Amino acid sequence: MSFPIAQLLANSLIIGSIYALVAVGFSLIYSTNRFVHLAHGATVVAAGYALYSTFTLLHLPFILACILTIALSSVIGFLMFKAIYEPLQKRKSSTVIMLIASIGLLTLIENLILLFFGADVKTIGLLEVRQGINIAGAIITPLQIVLVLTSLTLLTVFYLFMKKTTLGRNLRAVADHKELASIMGLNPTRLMAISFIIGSALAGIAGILIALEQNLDPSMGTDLMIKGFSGAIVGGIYSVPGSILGSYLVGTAENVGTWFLPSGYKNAITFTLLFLFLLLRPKGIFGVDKGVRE
Amino acid sequence: MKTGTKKEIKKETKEKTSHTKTNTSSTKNTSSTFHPIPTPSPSPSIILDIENISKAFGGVHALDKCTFSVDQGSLTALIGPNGSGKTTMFNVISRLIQEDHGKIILQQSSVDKLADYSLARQGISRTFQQVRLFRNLTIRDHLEIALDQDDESLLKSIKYELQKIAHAILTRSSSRNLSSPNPSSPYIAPNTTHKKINKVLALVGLQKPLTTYVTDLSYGQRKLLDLAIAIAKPHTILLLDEPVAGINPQLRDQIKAILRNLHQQGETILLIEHDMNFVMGLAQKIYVMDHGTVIAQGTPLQIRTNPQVLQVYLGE
Amino acid sequence: MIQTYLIHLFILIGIYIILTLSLNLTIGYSGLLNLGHVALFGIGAYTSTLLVMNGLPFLLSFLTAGILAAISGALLYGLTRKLKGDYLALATLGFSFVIYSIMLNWIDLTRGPLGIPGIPKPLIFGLTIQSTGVYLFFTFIITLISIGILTLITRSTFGRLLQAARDDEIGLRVLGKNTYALRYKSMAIAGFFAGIAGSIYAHYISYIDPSSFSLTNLIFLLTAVIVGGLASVRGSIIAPFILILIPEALRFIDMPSSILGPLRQIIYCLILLVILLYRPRGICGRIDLQ
Repeated sequence: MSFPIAQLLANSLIIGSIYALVAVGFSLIYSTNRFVHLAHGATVVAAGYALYSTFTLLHLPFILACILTIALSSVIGFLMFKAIYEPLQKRKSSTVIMLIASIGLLTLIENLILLFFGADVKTIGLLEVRQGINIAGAIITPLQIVLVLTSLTLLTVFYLFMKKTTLGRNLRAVADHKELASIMGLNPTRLMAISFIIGSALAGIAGILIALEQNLDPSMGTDLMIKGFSGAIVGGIYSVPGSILGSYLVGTAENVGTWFLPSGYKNAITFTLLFLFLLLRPKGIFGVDKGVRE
Repeated sequence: MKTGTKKEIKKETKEKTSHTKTNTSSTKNTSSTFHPIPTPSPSPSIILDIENISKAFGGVHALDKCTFSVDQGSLTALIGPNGSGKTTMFNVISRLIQEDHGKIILQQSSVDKLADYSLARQGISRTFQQVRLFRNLTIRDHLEIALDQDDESLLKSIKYELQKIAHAILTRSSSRNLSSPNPSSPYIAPNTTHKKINKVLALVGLQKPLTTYVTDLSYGQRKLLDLAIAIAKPHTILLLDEPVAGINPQLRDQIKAILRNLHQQGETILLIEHDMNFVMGLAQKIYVMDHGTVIAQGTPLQIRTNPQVLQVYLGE
Repeated sequence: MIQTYLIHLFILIGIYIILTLSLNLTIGYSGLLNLGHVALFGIGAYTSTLLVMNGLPFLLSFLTAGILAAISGALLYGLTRKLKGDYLALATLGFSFVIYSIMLNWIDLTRGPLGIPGIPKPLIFGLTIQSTGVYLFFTFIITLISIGILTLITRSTFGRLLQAARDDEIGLRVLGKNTYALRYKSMAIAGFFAGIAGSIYAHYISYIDPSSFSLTNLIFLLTAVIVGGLASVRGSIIAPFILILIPEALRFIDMPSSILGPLRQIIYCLILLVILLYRPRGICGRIDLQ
């Protein structure tokens, strides 16, 4: 079989769109809070299961189910910040401690889902699997087109929000220089909480899209988290366009890579890419040089 | 200020009788604090030679063709306003930063290729403006680490540890006290180390139990310990980055006396300071830096009367 | 019956003491948040298993497992030594996932997700360790030796230099100490002990598959190090006892294993978070990270 460039690119675009939503949320939280929130991946999975519960189990209207899911994701993010991260930050815990705490949270949420929903995969079943349409030699389902478009629209909106609105500007101010921002009368803690709410809402949307496109299983949070932070770091963790580009790059790398290697190596490929960037260009493609973190 | 300085010097001269003076030039130099002598022409006694060092961060030229040298046994000061590149210069000398151009020669050999730690082994001891201490270690730990140039070997250090245990068992003492002398050990002779530690602590006047953790020291005491570490570490030249920054006048005078004492013992010292007055009664040669380059050099008297220097310090 | 059960628990505790203590050497004493430890454990387990099953004597395989894991640890440090703090953690976490992927996908070598069953019991000096009682004795001896060596290292001047490098790397380098070399050695030592722990584990359980070396196990090790206390040998010996014995209480409540597994993990995560929040120095720790 010849190398199916079109199909691989289409697949990269689809999966990259989901990764990008995870990555920008992760990058927003990282740049305002300055620690790695690995449990972000768990928020995505929790959102997927929330959609499954509200839509598939409770038969709520799809739009309502989505709204509830996104709201729940924000609440989860906010609670993680309030219950764990904020007290830790108040005690001036190092980033390393925050990271360990976030691994704890990631595993905690994954296992709670496992406890309530079991290990077997869940499907949402909103649409029957339709015949894909052929675009330039790539087979793409209508759902996947909707998914890509939704993601791209949201990413644009988010980018404009960060660039144009006062809140976005304040968030960037805290990201740039926390002490200075607080001298200027901004409340960093409040803005950090807001970044968790917004970032987790984006994770919620990513969770919905993933739940529609793939089967749900409790352990997918770790995978998504790897893709999310790899995308963000590869692209430049402090930059929204960078995180988006990085995510598409990660999507492409794993799709092209698994053409040559067994598909089980997806994570390994992502990590190799991440490794190369960490070693050769730790600030990422669009990196603003804020130095390798102490 | 001035009278205080003179008093100290008197005290120093009294103390001098106890020190055996090996370096004749240092005796000569002591007088220079009172009667400045003309700058000596370059001589083979240059211990550190900085030639045309340039370093840019992004577009900012932190160092721009900076050139100066330090003579053996001298107390040289590098002064200049904040941001003039003094600390960057120190970081380049101690290889924490790689220069873009130029050459550094320590005792006739170029150090360009050396890693920071191997340069330190070549005989450069330095302090930082913000003291760098190991917050979970004690005073004794710090000084032992500085003194012991052989503790990186895993096998040797395990062997020594086993010997200590064997010694403790043999002498039937249950306490495994680090300070218990162990003359049979070929690895370190704690007696000598212990003596050296006490000597250097006496020199800087830090009176604290050796088992004190550095987090329990005051800011001034940390400065003194930092100085003690730099002195304890085997070295040919001491680089001191603002040893009196942010400390009270009393301690300031104490440190001044310590530096003078060291100098009289024949130490070579290069000192960074942004306060011109501090170095005036202390250094025999001063280099003034501004915008990453040396703009003036000479004796304290020459510097004090140099209009260009006054411009830098008072103008703008 | 209860006797076999206790023996089983104590063998596991012994293995986890070696793992926790060696992980503490890198995290607590050297200040390197090394999330690749579980991969080194896996490398040891697979190495020893494959060598013994291909006819090598047990003791040789056991040592090779340690040495290969030591080399991997040094290699991991070599790749990541320029990284600091959370970036180092992410890179070493990546290493764990890469090794996990290899165990899962290099089917020819590892049989992938099927795992390797029927790992023989150790044959030492012509005697096979058949009974679990003797195996406990064997584990006990190895654990004791490991504790002894690691205690010596942490108390020695070498260990003190590791701690100094953790507190201030630049400050130690200007004193003429090669911190890279120190940390290479530290990672290699930790790797060696993780490797032999892997070997003991594999030959005891007699079946290994990649899932034993996943994130789940990493959480356990991290929790053990934090609960015991950073840079505390005593803590790292006590913590595995507590962490292994506590969830065992659940066993006496009749529960399906599909609930027991996640519940155990949840307990570990909660312990980890509670300790981080309310007693960040753990049971016996003296230091805070950074």
